Order: sequence, then C-alpha cells, then structure tokens
Amino acid sequence: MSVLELDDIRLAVPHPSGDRTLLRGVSLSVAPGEALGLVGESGSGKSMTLRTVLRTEPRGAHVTGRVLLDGRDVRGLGTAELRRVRAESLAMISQDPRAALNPLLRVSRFLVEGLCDARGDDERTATRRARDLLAQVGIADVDRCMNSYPHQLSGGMLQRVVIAAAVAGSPRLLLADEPTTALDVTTQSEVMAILDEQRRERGMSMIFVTHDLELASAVCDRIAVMYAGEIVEISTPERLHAAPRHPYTRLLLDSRPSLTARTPVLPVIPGRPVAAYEVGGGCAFAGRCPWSEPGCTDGEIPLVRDGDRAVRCAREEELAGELAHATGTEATA
Amino acid sequence: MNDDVKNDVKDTDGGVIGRAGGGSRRTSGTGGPGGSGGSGGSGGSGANGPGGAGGSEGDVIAISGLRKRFVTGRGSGRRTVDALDDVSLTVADGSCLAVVGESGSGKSTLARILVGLEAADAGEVVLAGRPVARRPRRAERRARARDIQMVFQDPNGSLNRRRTAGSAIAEVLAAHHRVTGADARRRVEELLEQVGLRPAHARSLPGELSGGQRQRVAIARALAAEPRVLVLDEAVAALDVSVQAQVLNLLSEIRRDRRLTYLFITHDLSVVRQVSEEVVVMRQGRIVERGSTAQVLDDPRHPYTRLLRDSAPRPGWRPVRAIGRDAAEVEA
Amino acid sequence: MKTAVSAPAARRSGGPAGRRRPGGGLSGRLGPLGVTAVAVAALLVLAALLAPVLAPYDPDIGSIVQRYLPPGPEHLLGTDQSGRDLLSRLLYGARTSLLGAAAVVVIAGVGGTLLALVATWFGGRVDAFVGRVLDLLFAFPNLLLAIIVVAVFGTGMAQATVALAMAYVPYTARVLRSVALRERRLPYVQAAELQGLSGVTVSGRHLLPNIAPQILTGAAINFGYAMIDLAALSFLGLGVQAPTADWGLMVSQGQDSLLQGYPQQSLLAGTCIVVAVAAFSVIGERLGGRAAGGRA
Repeated sequence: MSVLELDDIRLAVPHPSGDRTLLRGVSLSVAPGEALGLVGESGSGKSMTLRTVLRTEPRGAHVTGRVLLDGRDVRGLGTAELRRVRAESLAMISQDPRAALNPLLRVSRFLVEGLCDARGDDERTATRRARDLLAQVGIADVDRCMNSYPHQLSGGMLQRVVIAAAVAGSPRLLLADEPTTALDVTTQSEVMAILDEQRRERGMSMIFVTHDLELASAVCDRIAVMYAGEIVEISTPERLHAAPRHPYTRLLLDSRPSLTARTPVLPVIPGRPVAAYEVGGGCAFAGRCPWSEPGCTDGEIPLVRDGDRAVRCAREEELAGELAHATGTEATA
Repeated sequence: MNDDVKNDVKDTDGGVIGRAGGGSRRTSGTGGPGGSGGSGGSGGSGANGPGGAGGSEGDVIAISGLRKRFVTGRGSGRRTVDALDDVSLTVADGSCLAVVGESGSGKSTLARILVGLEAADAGEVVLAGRPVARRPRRAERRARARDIQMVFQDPNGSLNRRRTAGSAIAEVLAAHHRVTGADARRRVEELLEQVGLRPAHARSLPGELSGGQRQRVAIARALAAEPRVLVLDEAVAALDVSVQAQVLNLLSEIRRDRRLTYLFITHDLSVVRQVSEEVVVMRQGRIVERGSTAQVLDDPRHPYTRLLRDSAPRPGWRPVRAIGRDAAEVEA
Repeated sequence: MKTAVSAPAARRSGGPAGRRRPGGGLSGRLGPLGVTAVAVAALLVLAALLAPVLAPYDPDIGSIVQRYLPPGPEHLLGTDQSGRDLLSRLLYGARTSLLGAAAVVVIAGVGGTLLALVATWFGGRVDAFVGRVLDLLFAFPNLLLAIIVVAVFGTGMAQATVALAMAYVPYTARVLRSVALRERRLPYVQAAELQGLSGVTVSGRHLLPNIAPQILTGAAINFGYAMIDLAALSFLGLGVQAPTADWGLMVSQGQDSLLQGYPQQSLLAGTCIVVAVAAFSVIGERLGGRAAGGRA
C-alpha cells in the first residue's frame, strides 16, 4: 500500500475578484521508501500540494479530494488526531531553516525538547540521541553545534540540524520544500547528500519539491512535473531525460543552460508560466506550446497512465518520437 | 582542508593562464594615453593575462589591488571581514567576464564598487580609460553612470512599486541625456521594444508585471543611459528556468547589437558557460582562478573551482558529501 | 481598545485576500469599525468648522444667574459654573482641541520625516548622530519634555503645541527611519543613486512616496495621543488659557463643579476627548494594517 496517496486534489483560495484556483486536480502516490520529486516553476502548485498534505493551506481555502496517509484520510482528521499524525508520520523541511528554529534557544534545547516530546525520552537519553543525530548529518564539531544559537550557524549547518530533527523519529514521510534553494551550490550538494543518505538508511518516503529538475533527478526515484496547478508528466529521472513525453518537460530540459556545452541561442518557452486560475479549457500549456493544435484547447485532457509513467498531453502518441530529441538543434539549424 | 585551499590560492595567483586575445588592441576611442597601465608598478602580479592587473587599451575595465574590509558587530562581537583582498582584473572591450563565487566571495562587493555604490579601501579602478575616484562627487558619479550601469538580482525590488515602468526608464534618460517630453516617450517605447516588451508596458506598475518582465524593464533602464558596460549582479538567478532562458538570450542579443561589455556576476556555472568568454572564480574575497570559460570549466586547476563544478546538478550527477567541511562554516 | 482593533486587522492582512493589489477599495479595507471611525472623525471636524453657525450662544459669555443649569430646551446640554452654554463651549472647544492636535501631528510629521530621510540618506556618522540625539530625547517622557519647554518659553496654546510637537519628533523619526532604511536598501533606490541623482531627488521621488503610508498611519495614531497630551497640558494650566474653550481645559474647570454635584462639564468634555481619540486611533490602526498588507 502507498504511504501517501493524493486523489484529485483541487484547491481554491478566496480573492476579491472571485475564487482563485491553485490546484486543478492533483493525483499522485508515493510508495514506501520511495522519493518523489515535485518539479515546477513558480505558481505551478508544487508547494501548495505539499501544504494540503500537512493541512497548512491558506486560511479560507476550499480543498476537495482525498489525502490518504497510510490509508487514512488526513483531510477528515480532528485537531488532536491531526497533531498526532503530524508528529508521528510526517516531517517537514522547508526552504528557510531559520524559520524552523527558535532564535532564542540553543540547538541542543531545540533537539532535546523535540526528542523528549516526540518519543518520551528522558533528558539524558535525548541528549545522547541528539548528539548521535548531529554526527550522522555530518556535523564534525557536535559540541560546538549543540551549544550554538541559530544565528551563530550558517544556513547549511542549520539545515542539517533541521534534517537531524526531521529524521529523528523515522517518520513515514519526509516533506522537503526547496530545502537547499537558499544555500550555496557546494553546501547544497552536501546537504542533499546527507538528506538522501538519511532517508535511504531509515527507509523513509519523501516528497521533494524543487524548481531544479537536475537536482530532483539526482535524489528521486520518480519525478512529477507540475504546470499551472496540475501534474503534466510523471516518470523516472532517466526516462524523463532520455524521452520526455510532455512538450513542457522537453522545453524545460532544453531551456536550462548546460554546464558542458554552450548553445548559441537557448531554446525558449515563449511567454511566461501561467497560473492555475488563468487556465481556460483544454491544455494549460497550449498557449506556449510549439506543438499545440486547435484540438488542444478542447475539453479536459486526462493524465494518461502507462506503467510507472503518466502524461497529460492530447498529442502524446504523435509527439513521442519528436520529443525524444532536444529542441536546441532545431532552433539553431 | 581549508589550508590546502589557501595554499592553492597563491599558486594560481602567481601562475597566470594566458588569454587568447590578450594582446588585441582594438582602438575604442576611449583609451587615453597610458590610461591604466601604470598600476603594474606595485609588483607582485606582473600578469597581463585575462583579468591581470595591467590592462591594455582594449580594456574597458581595469581593476588593480582592490581591497574592501567590512566591520560587523560592536564591542566584543566586533569582527572584520575581508570582502575583497587584493583583487585585480581587466575586461576587454566588448567581451563578457563572468565572476563566479558563492555567498561571501566578495563578488557583489566588487560589482558595487565598480558602479560606485561602495567605496574601496584601497586599489584602483580604471573605467573606459579614466581612473575612478574612490569617493566620487555627484558629477563624477553621473559621468560614470554613462559608462557603466547595473542590473540587480531581485526583480521585485529593482523597480519603484509606485512608479510606472516608463517613468523608471525616463528618469535615467532625463538624468543623462536630457531627453524629456515626447522624445523621452518615444525613446522609452524603443527601449521597451528592444527588451521584448510592448510600448503599452510603459504605463504598467511593477505589480502588474511578471518577474521576467520586471527584469526586462530593469535592463531597459540600464540601457537608457547608453553605457559601455553592464554589470549584471545575479540578474537571472531569481527567474524561473523558462524565463531565465529568455532573459539570457536577450542579454546576449543586446551585447552583440550594442557592442556592450558585460561583467556577469553569478553563482551558476551553467550560466557562465552560456554567457561569458572569460571567467574569474572568487572565494573569500580573493580570485582563486581565472581564464577562458572553456579552460576553467573543462579543466579547472584550483580545487575550489573543481568543487564548484562538481557540486552543480546536471544529468547523471549525484550529490557528494565532503567530510569535515563544516568546520569552516561555524561562524562564532 | 487597541488590541480589539488590531486583531481583526492583522487577520485580514495576513489572509489570502490581503495579497497585493486588493480589489476591495478603501471602505472594504477599513471595515465597518473603520468606516464608523471615519464618520465620527468627519463629524467632529465638521462640528469644529461650523461651530460659529451651530453654536447657539457665545461660548465665552455667560451669566452668573444661569450657572449649573441642567439640560433643557434653552441650553441643550446645560451650563457651566459661569453660566456659559456647554454645547457652544464643546463646539468651540473642538476647534482648539482638534487644531492643536493637528498642528502637533503636522509639525512632528514633517520634522520626523526630514530627520529620518537625512539620517537614512547620509547614513554613517550622520545617522549615528541623529540616532544619539533621538536617544537623548527619548530619555524624557513626552509630557515631561513638553512641560520643560513650556516652562522655558511660557504657557499658551502655541507654546504647548510646539513643545508637544518637539516631544513627538523622536517617535516619528525613529519609526520612519527604520522604514526608510529598509526601502533605501532596495535595488531601485540604488539604481537611482548610481545615476548620480541628488539625495534630495532620490529621497523625494523614491523614498518619500514609499514611506508615505507609514507617515500617514503614524500621523493618525499620533493625533489621538496629541489630543490627550494637549488636554493634559491644558488641564495642568500650561496650555490653552481660560476663557478660551478647550476640552482639556473644560475637564479641568469642571473639577470644582464635580465636587459640588454638577459633573456634566467634565463628563461631556471627557467623552468628547475619548470619542475623538478612539476614532483617530482606529483610523490609524486600519491604515497601518492596509500599509502592511500592501507591502507583503
């Protein structure tokens, strides 16, 4: 059974000019021990999807659909049950580790209190465990880190502290929302390696939200590409790179400059990313898609599953061959 | 680990990698006689190579021995940080130099000193053949702005949210070229079209524009001064991938059409590959490696450059865990 | 009172509807309480402006034989210890009370804004110096500072107003300095700065319009405090002098009558002060919530 299953999640928030849709039917599942990458540009709904799992969506939002965590619908839980589920089964790592830590408490207190609360450890056991955890997340000078206040530590160190706290209870599911976006590249590599290692060792599942397709590919078993509040493609990283099935994925891969080769002119996606509430009928990407046809804007286009991959494109079968090749070569030819 | 890196810094500082077109002397009309060459007298780096201290007539920017120290905190918590520690480089007319580094490398301080938003403690900046005063008066500042303009990282903060895109551009036109009224309106529309926007966008407030559009307006504003040099401080870092590609293409188009010189500050090596001919890698206020983009990215000499390259996500990449690196990260 | 007002304001600005570019218009943003406050404030200003038309009697002339009359058809709110019509005195009192507070707010607002902009623009030593001077002024309680100034320059409406304005400058300046400083660091200000534009131009064209919401909010909140403090100065005999009608002075003069069993003068004048202060504070809080919401 899946650790997490989202079934047709739709979300709208109130706005003076009528409700604004942010999610337009997101369905996905995460198997035990699996890492799923949720990739998209700003406004694609990737973070909002995470928030529906935690039930921390904006006040007044209308949410429909089911969020099944180990088969239980999180959306129907009472406050007390919800708190227990959050404490036992879920852990969150957000972009800004400073927001996760009380600036007035030393790291030791943050970790030890968390452990005492969650596991009912006594203080001595909890302290020992906290020190072990810090060592596991690659902190060399554990004493110094334990005695530091958050402002004395760098972002990379703090994010490791947050990871230590998150994995402490070996929750079923880790929710990571752009955990390395605020960090330098060298630190990002380090923090991602630690997160990946800890997750694998403890057999935890993870949803990893990021705008960086390559980063997600490196640590995830499957990737879901989001656009305008819905998933347009799900695939394994290898197949996503080798043969993307959705035009948006193809163009997203191509428009990122390469580290190894210069492109005379980068292939671009015309226009700007549209928000979910701006989408009319048919395919949300049709307006920017070089392959779109009149038929693309008619009716709702379903996410068609095919084994462990899925794609939401009306011309999926016709384009399969064409999308397997990068667009850059055509653009320059 | 840290010491290793420091030793290597000295190594690469001494041995300089040659630049392909190093000796090219394009007459650009601005290089005054002897313009900047004199600074080499301080000894040390006799380098005339890529970004070396000397500088030739073809160089629009020649920086030598730049130092900047910041003091933070008060009382016992008082600390000094060397944001720039003896930084020298040159940028040839019409080329693009990428300055790569992570936070705290001093790359942004370098940019701010260059455009006059910050004053260096020591060192010399020669811009288009003219030495720049360390603490310029307003008239000098204005004159400098006609040579060099800057595009900032944050598309949200780079425009006044209460003034239209058109007025942001018109302000620069009026300041430098005394263009006002109908002439200014026409010029604003031209500039907007050059950055891929419509004339109607002149009336938009920043809040009505997307991040990419705002960054285009910021580029148009910088172009309004008709500068020779554009300093781009992480100008595409905050943009979505698809928008980033558009802006990168736009920037290279503009550089070609206007024969501009770019100083492109970034942390992103993929962007470096795409935009620049030459690159300097900075770390903790010092230049640790310099050379042509291809050389530095394909065959990095300095371990830090190698670390940077190996840390960049790309197809087939796995994150790596370097043991013991965190010791340097503890700040207090 | 204050907490009751700010709680819903905070909730509104934090909600999804409080995002950039709200569509609800000013009345929507103020809420029912805010609209009521604006109406009350407008009514008070109108009463002050139209006092000569509305007042049934001369506020300064009364007859001893008509002292302490209860409310009735002749004198709608009764008379005071000198037989003067209370309604007329309240109407005229609104003029001095509101005008005085307005003067304090304007002087303090202009002074505080200038100080904040100068400190922000020049930074470094200028900023440090301004900061020190403000710290020094902060060491004195508002009212004490005003009393010292009045003691030096003499009593009277003008002196009291200027004295209080001076006491308010540090507060205004400090708040605005932090707002202006945050704004100053934004790239658009630096983009203007690097064009070689003058400090006056950049401050006036870019900084001032963007800190204007905070200036207005501060003014509206200060207005209430200024009314109370001016009333206090008048009450102490340092501000407005008898026989001029002023709410603070009326509370003070009503003291004796209070002991004799005629509380209406103090009560009425006190009520006017409370209502006015409450109205302007609510407006200030609401404007403040709006300014904060607009920035997010």
